[in-house]
Amino acid sequence: MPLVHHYIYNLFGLTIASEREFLELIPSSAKNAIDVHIRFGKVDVPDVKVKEETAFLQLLKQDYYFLKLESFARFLVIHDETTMITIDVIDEAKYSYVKSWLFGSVFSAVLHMNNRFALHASAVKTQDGEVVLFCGRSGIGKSTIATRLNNKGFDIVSDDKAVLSLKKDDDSIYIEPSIQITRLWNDSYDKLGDDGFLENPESVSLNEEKFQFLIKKENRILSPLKVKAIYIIRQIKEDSHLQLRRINGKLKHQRLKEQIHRKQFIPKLKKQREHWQYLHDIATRIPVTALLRPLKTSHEDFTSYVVKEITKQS
Amino acid sequence: MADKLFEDSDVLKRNDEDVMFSEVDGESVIMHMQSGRYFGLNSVSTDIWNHLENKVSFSELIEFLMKEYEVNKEQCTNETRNIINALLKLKFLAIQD
Repeated sequence: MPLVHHYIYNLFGLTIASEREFLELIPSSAKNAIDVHIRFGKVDVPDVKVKEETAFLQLLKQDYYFLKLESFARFLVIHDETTMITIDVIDEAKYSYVKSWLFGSVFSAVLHMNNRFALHASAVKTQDGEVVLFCGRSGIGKSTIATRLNNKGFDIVSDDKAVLSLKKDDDSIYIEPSIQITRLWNDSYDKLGDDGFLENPESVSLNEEKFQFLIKKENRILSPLKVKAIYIIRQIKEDSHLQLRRINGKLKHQRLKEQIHRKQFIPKLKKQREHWQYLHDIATRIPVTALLRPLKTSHEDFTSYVVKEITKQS
Repeated sequence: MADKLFEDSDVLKRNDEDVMFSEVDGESVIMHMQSGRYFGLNSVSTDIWNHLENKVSFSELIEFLMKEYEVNKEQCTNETRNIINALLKLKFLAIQD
């Protein structure tokens, strides 16, 4: 069955061919082979025994991923020489949610199948052109710090997911171009006010408290950039002060592993070996530091502290 | 005195199929892929791990370590037995049939 591809993109170092346009992705003129095809069509629910008819159904095995979301979408991912994503949009009114799931769980599975693993991190470019990453649990303030740093002149390279790769020619770790959106909690957005670099706050409401914005074209990072440091943000008790703690050895490996997006998919997709190699490549080349933030630290103080640290690194 | 989970003549082999090894900041790290369990190795344990790349008996391993380190045989045997026991329990190693 011949496929008609209208839109070609570069995402996380993969070349994507899609039947629909995605404003969140970077158009590509790549003539090289397509890694991932996105098509829209009917997806049947696999014939599997489930206890009852569930609203959410997710099936994973080697080179295969199926996801059913209530009554509004189904996804099927098959990986062979290339990866084929089929999306069945049952309710077009909820297309924004469909995209959130596509660039969330579905793409994590696609990345794993292609031996790429995303760190749950935001990333900014520093003055020397190299990148620092901010990891940490959901809600810790990864996107907020990236947005605040952007207001101080640091370009956002990635929000939410950062795919790193080892370039053999200079034996360094690079971050691949990401989805051109940033997601902010409602209260963070209120405090940040009008941001020059964000546009189209239309609106993709992921839940009641979180919103998504497109990064303006002129602010986008289009090619891989070298990574020089990873920070893991952690909250600490109130009576302490902002501090940094370098993480080494076994703990470094473990802490990096904890930051992998949808890491629970990895054993089911049988990618443990590739995943380990990925962690090894990063852990042996990039310093990892815990950034300990007391509960009551203001955004302003935290941002100033981080600016001082990442500027010192330059 | 360490538990005796194996005989001195037993041949020890690494479960390379199930185990991943890495050296980060001078510290060796191994992980069992199925269980996800991590194990940090000091420099002596790393030497033992590296030597077990070729299947060797426990006695041969002790002979090797006696040449490498200034240690008496009893101490070497007891400490190495503890390390091997731990690696066997974690399924990083197995005894050759």
